[in-house]
Amino acid sequence: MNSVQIIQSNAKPFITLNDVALRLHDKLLFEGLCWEMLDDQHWAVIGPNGSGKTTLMKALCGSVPVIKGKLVYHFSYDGQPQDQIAYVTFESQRMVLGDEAFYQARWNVGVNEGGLSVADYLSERGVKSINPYHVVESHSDQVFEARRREVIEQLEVGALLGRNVIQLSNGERRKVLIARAWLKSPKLLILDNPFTGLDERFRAKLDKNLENLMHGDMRVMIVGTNRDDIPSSITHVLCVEPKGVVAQGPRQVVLNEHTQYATPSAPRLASEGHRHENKDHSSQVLVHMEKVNVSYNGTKVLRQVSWTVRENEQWALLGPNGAGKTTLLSLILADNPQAYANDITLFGRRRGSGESIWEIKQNIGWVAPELHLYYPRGATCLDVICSGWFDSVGLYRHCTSDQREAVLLWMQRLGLAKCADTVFAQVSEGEQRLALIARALVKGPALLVLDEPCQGLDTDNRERVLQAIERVGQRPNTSMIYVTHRADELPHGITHMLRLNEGQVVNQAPIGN
Amino acid sequence: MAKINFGGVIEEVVTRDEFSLEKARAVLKNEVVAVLGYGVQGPAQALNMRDNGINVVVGQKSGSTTYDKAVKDGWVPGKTLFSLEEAAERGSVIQYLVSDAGQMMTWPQIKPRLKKGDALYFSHGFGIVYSSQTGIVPPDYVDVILVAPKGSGTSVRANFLSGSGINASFAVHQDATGRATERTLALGIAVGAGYLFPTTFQHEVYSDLTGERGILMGALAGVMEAQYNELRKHGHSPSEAFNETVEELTQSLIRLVAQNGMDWMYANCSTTAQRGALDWRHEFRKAVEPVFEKLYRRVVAGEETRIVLAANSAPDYKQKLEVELREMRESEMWQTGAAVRSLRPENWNK
Repeated sequence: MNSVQIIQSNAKPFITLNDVALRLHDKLLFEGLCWEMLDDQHWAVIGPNGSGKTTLMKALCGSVPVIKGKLVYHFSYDGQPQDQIAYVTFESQRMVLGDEAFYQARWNVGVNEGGLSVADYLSERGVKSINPYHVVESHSDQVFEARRREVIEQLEVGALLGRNVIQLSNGERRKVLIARAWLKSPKLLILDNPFTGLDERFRAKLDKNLENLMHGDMRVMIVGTNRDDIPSSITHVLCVEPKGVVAQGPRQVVLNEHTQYATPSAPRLASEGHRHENKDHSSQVLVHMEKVNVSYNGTKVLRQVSWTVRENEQWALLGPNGAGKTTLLSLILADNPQAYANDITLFGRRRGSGESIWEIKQNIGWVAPELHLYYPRGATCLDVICSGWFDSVGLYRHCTSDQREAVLLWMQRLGLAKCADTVFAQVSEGEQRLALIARALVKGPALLVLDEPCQGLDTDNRERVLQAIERVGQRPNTSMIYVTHRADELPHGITHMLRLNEGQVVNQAPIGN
Repeated sequence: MAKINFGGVIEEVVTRDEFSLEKARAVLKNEVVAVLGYGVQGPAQALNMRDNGINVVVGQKSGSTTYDKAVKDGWVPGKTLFSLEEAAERGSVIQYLVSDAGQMMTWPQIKPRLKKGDALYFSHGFGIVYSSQTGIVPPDYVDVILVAPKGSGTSVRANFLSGSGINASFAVHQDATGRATERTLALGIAVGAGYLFPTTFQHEVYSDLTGERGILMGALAGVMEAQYNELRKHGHSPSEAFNETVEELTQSLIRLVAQNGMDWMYANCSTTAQRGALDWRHEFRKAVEPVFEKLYRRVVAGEETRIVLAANSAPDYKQKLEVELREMRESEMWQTGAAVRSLRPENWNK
């Protein structure tokens, strides 16, 4: 006999999908899907990039139509059933950003025009609606205030309350979005890849928070790719592939039968891989920072940071959320005007000595969650990658035929050829990420700055990307700075490590020495 | 210059093909550009030029939040951030980007600091064109030039950083050095312009003042109120009156006009709408032609300027202004607007 537990329960149905089909643009997805969630179950929906997970979640939220069959909500609600469902995904961050936003807005104080603070966002009114024109009835409520304090404490966003939402780091913003969704007290909280972009310590904390939530009244649903950590209290799993649902049922049963989803990848130990023996200190200096200080609104974001990056060095840049990693990179990417007030030399020229940012950017290939959030959704994937030649966000020039060839080559390598003429908004999050990575690699630049490039990628795509990055990293005169919170995401070939905490360098060393 | 056919009239436009960033940097190689005023255009233009490798300093009165913004944007007091007067002294191009009222106030301190061969640069021709009222008469040994980006400071900065550029007009009022045009175009490219359209100071100001009193703000609000009131007079609900006057325009029709032109919209609507619009278009134009004539006359004569300057210097102006703004904000029409906006599909369930 197998060891399946028979759970005695009086659980009632919570949401059922009966023989449904969903329409996405001109395609029908999940034809014939039957899925029943009971009210004492917490589900994980896992599957590779592009398998339709987001579409399925949007159907639950009412923003994708159910064409056939029935989607039934078995709980009580005022207004719409979807008001009882909160869905937090990477794209949710875009809702927070203003219309005219550009990714460097965070660093450009002079042209910043107000905006919401985190406190506003998490206020009672803010939780109901951040649309300033929405006439919302709100009143000070002790129950809400108590919950608000608790959520703020659990998710450790207290220190962020005074900040403008545009000024948050990627990880900080993710936490704030989860806090807000939690404060809506939905009957169902759907979190897409909740642990991505969060540091190790906080991942453990969030896992505990979710466990507590799941023991209460809220149902939690986690959506992820096949390699993501599924929180310990998840009870059931739905496995999704491009052809449809391939498995559903109790967690252990499903994961035992479908082991490709169950095995988290082994950590990629930097010391196992190729290592460039760079004992030659006369090799060219690409980046030099001398006791750099950056502060905003009285908070010191970087303190006395000194750092030198030479040719053929590959750096892992590590540190908890909010440590200052992205700010540090903004100084190298020529995105941060405070570089002119510090002692920084890039590619042989001291900042503020008459160089243009475009000259600097020509040497750098960059990808980061911010770029992903802000990239215009109307560009085709081909345009996105072509724009890498010009370091532009959006494409405003024509590529030469040589440049185009390099673009097509990278599309092949990363499996994007079929998306060339598809608009960015219409490919999956993982495919968008791959396009942006190709954009960073297309110039074959001297310095690759890869800020959490594997966020949101499934195992296969992650492998593909890491191999491409490793191959590029082995080219002569190529340096790299790689940011991640996950040991299993470091490419082989890392030679050095810089660890930041609260704006200061706490450790800086070659690997393996 | 590229020649572009605008409805049968050939206009010349400067593009990056004719005037590249490299050329602009070469032209400005030995210049120090002093940006006076770190309000809205000031930051955008200063940051863009600096990021293009131009030698820029900022002049701003210390002790204000604006000064703090400059510090946060990497301008270093005593090295690249100074008082208005000192920045003007250090600059060979003085970008006078304080407000119209600010220009009047600070001119007595700035004028003596203009040296032979400097360029006095504006992004709006107001101060020069109405010099009889503003007192701004530059000495004859400086170039007096203009680059007016067609967008807010934020758009100027955002467009530059995205790798594109915002369109701008340019003008030369006084060419003392013989190189004024070249310097103007170089500065236009350096601040992040895409296409540069030639104009004169007069034309820039007169069209600007007419536009904001006319279609862009004054006429539009007036015409909307007239239609809304008429519908309400006859018992239409506030939401219905608002939808037929404003909401459908802003949410649907004007975007089609933006994309394809008004002529396209006329050719692609119902015959009922089309016939009516074609007839009433002439009726409305005839009704407002005299108003536009009066407006333009008053702009040229400086009457509108006189009113603006008098208002800005009246001691209780802020209070009076708040009364007017409140009247509009609390009007039934615009309160209705807020409610209607909350019902837009994208604002559900936010």
